[in-house]
Parts: sequence; C-alpha cells; structure tokens
Amino acid sequence: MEFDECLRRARRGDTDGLAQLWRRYQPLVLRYFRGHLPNVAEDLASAVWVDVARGLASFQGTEDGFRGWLFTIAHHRLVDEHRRRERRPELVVADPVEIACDNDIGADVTSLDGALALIRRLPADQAEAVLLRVVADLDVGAVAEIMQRREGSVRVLVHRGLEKLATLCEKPVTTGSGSTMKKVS
Amino acid sequence: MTQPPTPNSPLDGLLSALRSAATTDELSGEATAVQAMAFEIADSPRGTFVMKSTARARRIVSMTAIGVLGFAGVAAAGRGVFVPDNRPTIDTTPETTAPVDTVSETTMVDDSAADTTMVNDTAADTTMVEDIAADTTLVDVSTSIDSEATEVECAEGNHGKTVSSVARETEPGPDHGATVSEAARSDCGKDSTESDDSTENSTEDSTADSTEDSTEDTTEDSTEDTTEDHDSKPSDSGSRGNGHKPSDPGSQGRGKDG
Repeated sequence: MEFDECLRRARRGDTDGLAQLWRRYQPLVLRYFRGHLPNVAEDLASAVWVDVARGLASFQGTEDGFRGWLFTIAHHRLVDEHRRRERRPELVVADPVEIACDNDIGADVTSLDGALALIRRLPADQAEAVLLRVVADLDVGAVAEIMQRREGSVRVLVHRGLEKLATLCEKPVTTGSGSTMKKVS
Repeated sequence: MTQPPTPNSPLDGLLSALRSAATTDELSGEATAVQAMAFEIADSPRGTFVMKSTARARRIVSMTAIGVLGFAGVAAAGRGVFVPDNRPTIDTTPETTAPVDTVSETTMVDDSAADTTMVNDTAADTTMVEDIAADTTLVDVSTSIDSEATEVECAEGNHGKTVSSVARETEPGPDHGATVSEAARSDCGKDSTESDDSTENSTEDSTADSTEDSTEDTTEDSTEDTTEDHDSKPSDSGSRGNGHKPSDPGSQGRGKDG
C-alpha cells in the first residue's frame, strides 16, 4: 500500500491504514526512545501514536514530511519526560531496566541492543542527533528543525557522536577516503 | 564533514543494527495500538464538542448559581438592615400603650376636675368631639380586650388575678405580651383597702354615665360639659367623694377602674 493511500485511509480511522502506518514507523519510534530512555520507551511511543491519531486529520505532506512530523512529536514527548524526571528525580533512581541495558555494552555492538546501549553512553544532544539522523533517517535540515539548532551544529553533533561510538567500539574507524581516525582514549 | 565509515568497521555494523528490520518484539501490541488510534480518531471530534458543551453548560450553571446566591445574600442583608425600622414590636408598642392612656384618662375623668383637664388637653390635639367621645368610651367600646381585662381585674380586685385573667383572656398574638405586661404594670387590683362593692359600683356608674353624658355633651359643646358631668357623678354614686382625695387622684382612680 502506498503511503498516500495509507495516510488517506488512516485519516478516516481505517484500521488497515493505521496498522500500515504503525508497522512502518513503530520500530523506528521505539528505537529512538530506547536510545534515550529504554524503561519508558513503549509508554512514550504509545503516547506519540495517540498524538499522531489526534493530529492526523490536519496533517498535510509527503512521507518525509510525515516522518519529520512523527519524530517532532517524539522529540517533544522526550523533552516532556526529561522535564518530568527533573521535577521528580526519585523516579529515576536505580532503575533496573536502564542498568540492565547499560550492561549490554559488553555484548555484541552489532546487535540492536548493543548499539542502543552504546548510543546511551553518548551525550544527550549527540545521541539525539545520531538517532534522528540514523534511526529516523531524517536529513540534516529536518533534524536541525526538530532540535532547534542550525544545520552546521547538527552536523557537528552527528560527527562527534559517530566518532564517540567508534571509540566505544574500541576499534579504529577508517574514513571513506582511506585515512584512519585515531582512537580516542 | 562526516564521512561514512568503511563497510566492515564496527561502527558500520552498529549503524546497520540501528537500521535493521523490525523485530517481533517491536511489533507486538499492534492490535491494541491501532484500536487506540482508531478510537482516538473516531472520538476526537465528538469528544471535543462534548467538552465544549459541557464547559459551556457548567459555566452557565455556575453563573446562574452565583447570581442567585448573590441576590439572595443581598436580599437577606437588606432585610437584616431594615428589620429594625419595620420591626412590628415598635408598631405595636404605641397600640398597646394607647389603651392604657385611654384607661388612665377615663380614670382621671372619673376622679377629678384636674384629670378632666388632662382629657381636654389630649382632646385639643385633634377633633374635640371624636377624641373626647373616644376617650370616654374607649373603656367600653374601642379597646374591647383591654376593657374586658379591666373589668375583670376590677371585679376581682386582686392584681395577680387580674393579670392572669388578662393573660388568659387575651388572644395569642403579637399584642398578647404587651397587653399582659401593661396589665401587670398597671395598679389595678393593688388597692386592697377599698371594698369590692364600692369599686364595682363606682366603676360601673362612672363608666356608663360618663360615657353617655360625655358623648352627648361633647357633641354639643366642649370639654367643660364633660367636666361638669363628671363632677356630678360622685354625688350620684355616693361613694366616690368619700373614697378619693385630690392629692392622689391617679393611683386611686386606676385602682378602681383598672
């Protein structure tokens, strides 16, 4: 089913259209949240889809625009969650889920859980930029709009984030031109 | 600028893992999520309308309640302020005191010329004929309750019995307490030295004769005629001239007539 047809049916409340949208983007949304807060990833993803359903009738755009709109909602939900945790810091103390996820760093980094565990070791803005750029597959302009930053800043964040990930993998990372990036101790 | 890593690098494997296909765990709960979305889409417009109408209705009800309560509060406060001005006790007090005044006036008329002068003073305030007639006949006609109470107390000649009889015979109402208290304040029945027969005779004669004569005379002339008539009454009754002194006309007269 084409995206436009899927979106048109989803606007009418058709379950097939909604299921198509959900199956196409739910893994991306879930990975995005798992790269930040794995313990509440599913809850946040559910809240995002409820917001999508509420605003679906007013959405106008292409598939790329829908993806950008979807992760804009996800970014706002993430910011709200961080603010809520700042107001109630006792809720995030000794979270067993996050501890277990952080222990996945020693596992295979090529697995999804290992990769997400490494991303959680990044600074928040670098992780956000990498996730939006890699997982959501958004272009730099869309990421800059979501993060309220300039495109150059987003590029720097993505570069530093990937560099840090390569360091965490404890293997030298080579660039496309053949030059070898130094291992950062 | 960010340059893509070599395909075989660990970072490439990491990015490939992030872009991998969806797992079954990630797609679990599809039915619930889709149902929630469909319900949200179907319920969102109607729910919005209901919320607006409910909020509007609540606002109307709240404003109405505030208005009613405010008006009721102002009305209650206004009544509380104006009650002392319209208090019925204030209005009834002159009414209850008026018969006492008339009683005392008739008593004075029966006693002496000085008392009759007071009657003339009160009569001079308004129309002579009506006031004098009213003053002299009030005991029998105008204030029936007070006159009956007066007759009873005079007949018994005992102050306590008089007051109790007044209390029993006065009909319950706003004037009941005032009438009884007035009877209690009066000197009726306190004169125990005089005989009951003389009291009764003098009272009956004085009230009856004075009423008739004074009414007739005042319609013709003035207060002087009534004075003359009243002056002639003791000679008729025979007991009035002996039992009363000019020095204390009021108390003695009230003791007889009540």
